[in-house]
Amino acid sequence: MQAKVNERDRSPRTLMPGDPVSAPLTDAARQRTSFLNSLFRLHYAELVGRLRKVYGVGPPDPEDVAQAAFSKIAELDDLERIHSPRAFLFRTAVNICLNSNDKLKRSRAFVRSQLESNFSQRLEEKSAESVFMGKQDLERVAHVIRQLPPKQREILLRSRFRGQTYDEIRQETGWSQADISRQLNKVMALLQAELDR
Amino acid sequence: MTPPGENSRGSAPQDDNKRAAVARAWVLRLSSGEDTEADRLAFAEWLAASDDNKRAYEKAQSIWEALGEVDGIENLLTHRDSVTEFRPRNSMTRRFLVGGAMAASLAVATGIGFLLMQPAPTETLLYATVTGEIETITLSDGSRVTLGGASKLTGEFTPDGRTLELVSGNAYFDIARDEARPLTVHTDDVNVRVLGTRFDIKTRPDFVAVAVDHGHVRVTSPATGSRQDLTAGEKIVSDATHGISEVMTFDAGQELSWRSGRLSFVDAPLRYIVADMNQYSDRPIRLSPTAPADLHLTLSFPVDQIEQVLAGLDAAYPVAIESRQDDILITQGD
Repeated sequence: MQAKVNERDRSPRTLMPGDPVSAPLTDAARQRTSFLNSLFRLHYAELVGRLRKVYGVGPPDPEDVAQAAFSKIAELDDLERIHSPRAFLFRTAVNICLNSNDKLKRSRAFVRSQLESNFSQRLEEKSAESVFMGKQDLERVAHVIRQLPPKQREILLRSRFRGQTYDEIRQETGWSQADISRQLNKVMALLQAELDR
Repeated sequence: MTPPGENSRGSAPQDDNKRAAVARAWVLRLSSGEDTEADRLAFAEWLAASDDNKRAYEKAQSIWEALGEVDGIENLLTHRDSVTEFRPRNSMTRRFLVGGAMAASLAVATGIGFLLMQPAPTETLLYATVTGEIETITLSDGSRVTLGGASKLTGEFTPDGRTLELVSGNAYFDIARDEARPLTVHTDDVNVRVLGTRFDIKTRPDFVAVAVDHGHVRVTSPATGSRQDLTAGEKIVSDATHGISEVMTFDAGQELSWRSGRLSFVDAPLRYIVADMNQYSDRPIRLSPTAPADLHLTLSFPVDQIEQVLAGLDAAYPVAIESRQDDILITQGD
């Protein structure tokens, strides 16, 4: 993927520990700043490490993506409702990368517009409390992933996490788009079967 | 994309299953980067057609999204053979020998920059098969590699050398001779260095086997520092604790028959046979703790007849085969 993080996804004020914050220093604001600082201190290095496993040295540059993810978190109103900051940061970072691919971004926006006119539940990262699954179900998902053959793992990594289009995956691996689609459909069917048990 | 027929009004289980499959197909289509304007219109229409459709889509979408929340997903998707349990080993030695992308990413992670100054690879290779698939690939140097089921091969060709890594499964290598660019195949346990020859490597969680069909190869074990030269008809196995075994002879007709979709075993322990079967079986085959894993058997069968073979074992040997929805369990029988 030749993706770069969009300029607009970068906050003009990258959060650093100890940064002064220009907002009026009410108790709530002070608390919030200190929470964000501790979040950064506790999770930044690990987040970069996790992203490096997915993207290598980039592009996208794992450090850029991690900073963009923190900037996004800093914009949330309901910070205190994040259940697992670690998982939330990673998910947010991956979504930033998916959105840096214009084709994927357009389709994601389209799906969101369709769902928002039809649903009460929101399916995106804006809301801190949205969690897609409980811990036990996530462990079942991990159980299925562990058993996938290498090819399916490779395709899942490229499509779901690196945000490569089927054509980009085809160019780099030689697998046809139909094969890629078939393998991913198989993986999804396995996941749903496990979760429906 | 035209979603497979969804015309049902009732909610019989098969209708729900079909609807769920359509929903999953939509989620994937809309994440493929290949969806067209017509696809998006068809999707909007399908979504608005019924509340059941909406619920099915929401469910499928949440599965796709939840993948990003799985703890350690980056390791599950990128690590070699994450099916196996953790085995302590001195992987540093091996990783550094691998070179290329893996060493480069490790170098960055540990701040060792000099490795980055090595010449850029001219060609990066990646091939992998799913369970049940056997595939032959021709590489840019004219070498041909046949990959067994559930196998993965990566590598890099530079002007100075050819490096492959058999990450999981097994492969038969027919390597084009190039005196100027020797080729090395890395595995978890051993490295195999050749000029041009034909040989077979099988990687398993607890050992690696190398069998030479033609020419000669040099096998080294970085963990134990041992090495062994092999010529046609010779074979070794190697594991982390014992290093490289004595040289054995093997029957090429039997050992290499997997390439034509047939598995053959002479006096082999059941657990070895099951490991091979699992490269081709739709459902994973599991050995229960009570199963006679060291029972020695002589068998030959096509990879698409594994279930029949297991049924035959049940009838003829003290093993019991339990065919379940998600796996096949082998236990002690009468």
